[in-house]
Amino acid sequence: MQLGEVEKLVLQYLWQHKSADVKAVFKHFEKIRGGSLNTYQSTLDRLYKKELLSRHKVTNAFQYQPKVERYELIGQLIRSVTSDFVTDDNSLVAAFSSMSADFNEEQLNKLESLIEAQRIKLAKGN
Amino acid sequence: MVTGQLAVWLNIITIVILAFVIANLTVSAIVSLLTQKFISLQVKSRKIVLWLLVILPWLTSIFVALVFLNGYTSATIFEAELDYAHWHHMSVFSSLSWHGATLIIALIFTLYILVKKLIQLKRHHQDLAQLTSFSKPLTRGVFEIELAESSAFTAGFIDKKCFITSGMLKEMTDEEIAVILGHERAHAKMNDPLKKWLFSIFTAFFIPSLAAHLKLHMTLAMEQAADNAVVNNDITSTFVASTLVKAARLNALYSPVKNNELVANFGADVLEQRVYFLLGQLNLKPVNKMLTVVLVIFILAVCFSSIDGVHHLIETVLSH
Repeated sequence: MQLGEVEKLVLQYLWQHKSADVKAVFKHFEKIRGGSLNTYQSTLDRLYKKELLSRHKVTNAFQYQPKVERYELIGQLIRSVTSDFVTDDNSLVAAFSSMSADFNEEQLNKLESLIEAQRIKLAKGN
Repeated sequence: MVTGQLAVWLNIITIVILAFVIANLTVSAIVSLLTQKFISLQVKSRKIVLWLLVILPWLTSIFVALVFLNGYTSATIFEAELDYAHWHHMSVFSSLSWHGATLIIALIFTLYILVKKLIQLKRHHQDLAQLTSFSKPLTRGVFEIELAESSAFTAGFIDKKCFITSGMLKEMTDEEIAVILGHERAHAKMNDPLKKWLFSIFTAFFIPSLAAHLKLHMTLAMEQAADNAVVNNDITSTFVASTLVKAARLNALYSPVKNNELVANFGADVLEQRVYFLLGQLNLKPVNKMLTVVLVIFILAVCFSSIDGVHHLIETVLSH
């Protein structure tokens, strides 16, 4: 999913303020970066169409709320970028602990014991 | 019906496809038989062998086609060439025959793979750009992502970027972070993201289960090479191993254990193998060069000796 610069700014604003209509968004950004009311109206529409915002009508204007939280969007992006190379063709990354999420406690404990044993062995050797 | 020079080229492409399929099946059989042996090869040798295996069907098919072309256009180099490397009706190509169908199917399949990979690459670049815009630079080429989940990875083909989450930075000590970033920088230095993508294109021409095995072996080799690159006078291999297990434990907190048996076993194999490797508990050997040469010659021989036979076999079932 590609987000433009203004879309990201508006999304950041809504993550902070939880809910706003186009006038509130425009009022906030008018001072910081300019732009017209239409610019922010179309930005909010695009974010709504990308399913990143939800909206409901209050009197005559839409109130927009973030549909996904910041951490959820970043989590989605990380998952998309790091999808497993073996089970899913989408991975073009090299991860530090790739495929290690499939472990259970017992296996990890076993590996830790093995490392500790090696450490003691090396310390005795020195 | 196509005749003349164009027909020769179309027949040559058909030979390339047939040789590719035969070489691919032979390589697949070899990989299936020797898959457990790869793990005992030294990391560098293993990488070379894996690349050789996925590229071999392409090299073999091109070589076989060139020999066939040589046999048709000029005097043969070897006496035996006429016995094996001959193709009936080289200057005539019937597009409404199995030859034409073979060409079209191969073309569609190849295009499908290439388009799929390019779409995947485009999406990946978009998501990566997005992720970069949500992260903040820590040092040159290293970015912090504000997220409680624990993760570190490297991505990008030309402009390579190492990412680490704030969750991981919070949970790990400075020494452990040095190991993680050293590991990621090693991936970047070795161009692993690009190599992974290229490798996945070559493996896409193998049956999926075999492709998964090949990719798993390549992933393991790349991870072991990156783990090894971190070990120096200040950072011991046991420390790298314990950092790896700690990171795995943190990952497990956020990711549910997958039920897929194949995936779970693969995962277990990879982490265990990396730890065993760091602890020096694997007796890794260099590749047997003689055996490798014999296998390459064997695949070439199978292709040469099968083309004519396969041609006749197909034409006993399908009309020319």
